[in-house]
Amino acid sequence: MPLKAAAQDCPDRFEVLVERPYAAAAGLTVGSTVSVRPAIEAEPCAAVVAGILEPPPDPAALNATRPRVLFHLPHLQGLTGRRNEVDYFTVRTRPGTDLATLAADLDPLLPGAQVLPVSEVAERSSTTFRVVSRFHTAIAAITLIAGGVFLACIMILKVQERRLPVAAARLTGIPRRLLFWWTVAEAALLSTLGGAAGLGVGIASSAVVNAYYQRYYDTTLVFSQVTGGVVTEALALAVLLGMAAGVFAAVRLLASNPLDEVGR
Amino acid sequence: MLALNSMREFRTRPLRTLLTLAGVAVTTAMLADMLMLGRGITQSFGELLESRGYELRLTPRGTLPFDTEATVPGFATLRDSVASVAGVERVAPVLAASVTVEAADDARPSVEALALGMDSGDQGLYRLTEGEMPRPGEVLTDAEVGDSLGAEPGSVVRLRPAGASGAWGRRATAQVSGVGEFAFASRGDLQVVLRLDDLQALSSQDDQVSFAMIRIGEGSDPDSVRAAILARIDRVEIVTLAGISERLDARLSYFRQTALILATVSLVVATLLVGTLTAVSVSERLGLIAALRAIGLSRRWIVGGLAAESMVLCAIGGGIGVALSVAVAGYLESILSDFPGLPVAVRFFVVSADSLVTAFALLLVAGTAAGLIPALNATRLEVASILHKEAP
Amino acid sequence: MSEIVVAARDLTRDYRTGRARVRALRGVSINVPRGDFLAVTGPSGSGKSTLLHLLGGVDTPTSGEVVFLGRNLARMSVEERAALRLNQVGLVFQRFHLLPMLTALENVELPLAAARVPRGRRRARAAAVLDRVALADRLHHGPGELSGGQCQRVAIARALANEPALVLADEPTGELDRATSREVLALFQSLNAEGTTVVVATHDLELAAGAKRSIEVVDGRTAP
Ligand SMILES: Nc1ncnc2c1ncn2[C@@H]1O[C@H](COP(=O)(O)OP(=O)(O)OP(=O)(O)O)[C@@H](O)[C@H]1O
Ligand SMILES: [Mg+2]
Repeated sequence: MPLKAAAQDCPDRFEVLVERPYAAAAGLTVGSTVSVRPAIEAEPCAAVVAGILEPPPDPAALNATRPRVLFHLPHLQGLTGRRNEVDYFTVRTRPGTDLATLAADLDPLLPGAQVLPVSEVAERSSTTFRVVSRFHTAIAAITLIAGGVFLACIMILKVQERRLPVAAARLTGIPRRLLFWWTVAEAALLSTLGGAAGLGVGIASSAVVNAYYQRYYDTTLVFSQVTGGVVTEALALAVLLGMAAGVFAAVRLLASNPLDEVGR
Repeated sequence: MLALNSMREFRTRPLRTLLTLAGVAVTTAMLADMLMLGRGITQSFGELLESRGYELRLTPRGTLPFDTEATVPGFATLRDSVASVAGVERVAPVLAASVTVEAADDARPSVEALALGMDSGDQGLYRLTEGEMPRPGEVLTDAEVGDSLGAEPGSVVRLRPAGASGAWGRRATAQVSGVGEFAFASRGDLQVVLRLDDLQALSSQDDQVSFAMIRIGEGSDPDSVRAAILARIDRVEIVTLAGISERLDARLSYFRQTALILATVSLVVATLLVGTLTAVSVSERLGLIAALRAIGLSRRWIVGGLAAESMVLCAIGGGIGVALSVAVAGYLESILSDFPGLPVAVRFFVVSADSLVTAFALLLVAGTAAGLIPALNATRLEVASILHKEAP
Repeated sequence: MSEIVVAARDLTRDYRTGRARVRALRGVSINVPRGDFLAVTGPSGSGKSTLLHLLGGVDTPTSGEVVFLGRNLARMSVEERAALRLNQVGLVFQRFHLLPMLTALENVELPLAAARVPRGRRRARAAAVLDRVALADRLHHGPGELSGGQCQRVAIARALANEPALVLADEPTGELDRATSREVLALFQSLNAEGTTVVVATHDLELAAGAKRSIEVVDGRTAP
């Protein structure tokens, strides 16, 4: 059977680190011996589990189908026959270095490789999350439209109900402006209360989402976070939406001649 | 006739009616879209796979085709043992490797592409749009590679393995045989096809393949053929189409769960909306309803008339919503189509009559039920008491 | 006298409002023979409406019994009583209670439709009744386009649609001016002359005087 020529000498004191979920699943503990081979058909080498590794909470690794095992670089290079080869390496820069210029300077020195600032690497590997987040924004917009329509409906009903008392109030001399602001304030209060209740539900469900997905993916990543910004944004939207619905209702309520209403 | 009265009443309160319709429409659209999202991923991927006729995939353990750079070595031997399993009709190996493609005249910058090494074109990994399948020493490109390099069938391009792990010296020139469209390409991925031998040589992966597609004979059961292969070879994975769909599903389970939750929320919102509005319109007409009861109209008659009102609202709003959902699905699809690592042909939202009808029916049932409750309550009240209270 | 349409014996009716109990009727007995035109008068809150509701089977007495065309209403279910009202009782209300978006013709068709009269016959019958109440030229007008008196005539036509054995009218002129009230009285009188049995509860002395006979209810009892 044709085997890859490399990888026949097993490293001395061959030690590896194994990720916790995999170690747990495979029943490995520190000191367990595992066999490692570079290819399915190759001769295995015995390695000792030197430690268990808590996987860093890396969103990009969430859907990884295979566990990660850490080797000493020379061991892996020797094992795979890729001596003196690396997939990437990181460079620490002095504070104040302009990364773009440095990357441009390094590029010609490394044919066949590319030099990227870490921020861009992170950017590239988080495409998934950016896409998902845009998707969430779109859904939020639709939800907002639905909520707005709902609120407008309720306000229209309130207007219908209020016609008579408001007309009577106007005839007794209560100024229009007062009635207008009263209606707007009422709608804003209503939607703020609704928004606050919704935030409560949101915080609770966010906890559920986190608990569920953290279990599901066995990670400490935080999936859903109700930040101060989210709270402010949601409440501000609720108040604005409420005021808009209130203005809309108040205009309708005060447009008619009060005599018509009462005289009916 | 009660319903007739309601229909005409809609016109006297256009704003209220329009707002209700808008609310129902938006929530129906959301519901339909979430149903599409829930099913779309699996469905479109299933279609993509099934249209190809190869029911099994042989892959390195723990991977899916196009998943990783892992390969199956010693394939020549493996192939023979797989081919000898009863029910296996054909084994089509594929090697996938990153390559750099440059125009022969170096006039334009080189491009990185995923090269597929395979010997026949019937696996459905690509569709020929121009020219011919590659013969030894030839390469087929997708339209983008052709455009970027200014290459067309007949031109010559240079290929070398991509990335730092490639051997710098190894290069090959190949004549472009044709242009194809790639079903499993991720968005933005460029692809080319070479003969398997050529790619193995180029990427120094002799006798290795990334995966193999297995066609089974008519009447054979994929699961039992899979078991028969695994009984003979245990170092690889054999995945059925259903298995692939399942794993993809697990990977995208987030979307299905989101879809389920949002679908439920939309249904609840629609129900609340219709319920509230019917409750209000019923309470406005309590006196009239009591009078009709007094006249002798049966409960069923009155409830039917009132329920018809919410049903009509749901039917019209739902109809608009279903139409709207198609547009919204397109919009959401355009957002999610940037999702990395999925074949372009996989769609998140598959507009199907099934989803639309289900959304419409769910909404109609929920909305009508929501309207039914206040109507039932109103007719259950004591007629004489209402008449007494409504009397001036 | 001739056949009794409805007979009430010893009717009492208690209402609960919160903790308090109101005794709206305290033992009323009356017979309404076929062809009668009876006015029920009395001060506000004396129990006139309650009596009418009990006679028509709209409400059930706390004690006592109502026999309608020989049938004891207490032995009938809610829906059976509704069916009886649909076919044998015509109700007229002070506030008309017409469906606002239906035409006069459609409003009168309503009880016929509920009684499953086929469409063609229903139309013809409704038009004939409206003609009877002198609204032949207003068939396709809605309540919004009709005066109060015309609305009440549509309501009376609706009450007559199924050719009931008894018409019960509760303050039918309560929302109408004097002249229109007279028209309604004249209509009841002529309907009665044609054989319709009518019971009217009213404050309107002129209406009461126009009836064949009248009883006064005071404090839940018939005054002597
Ligand atoms: N559904 C009810 N619940 C509570 N109390 C009631 C109810 N119906 C009638 N009553 C009370 O019973 C008494 C008689 O009422 P009823 O309506 O029969 O009087 P009425 O003679 O028709 O008065 P009006 O001339 O004002 O119409 C009143 O005190 C009234 O408040
Ligand atoms: Mg009364």
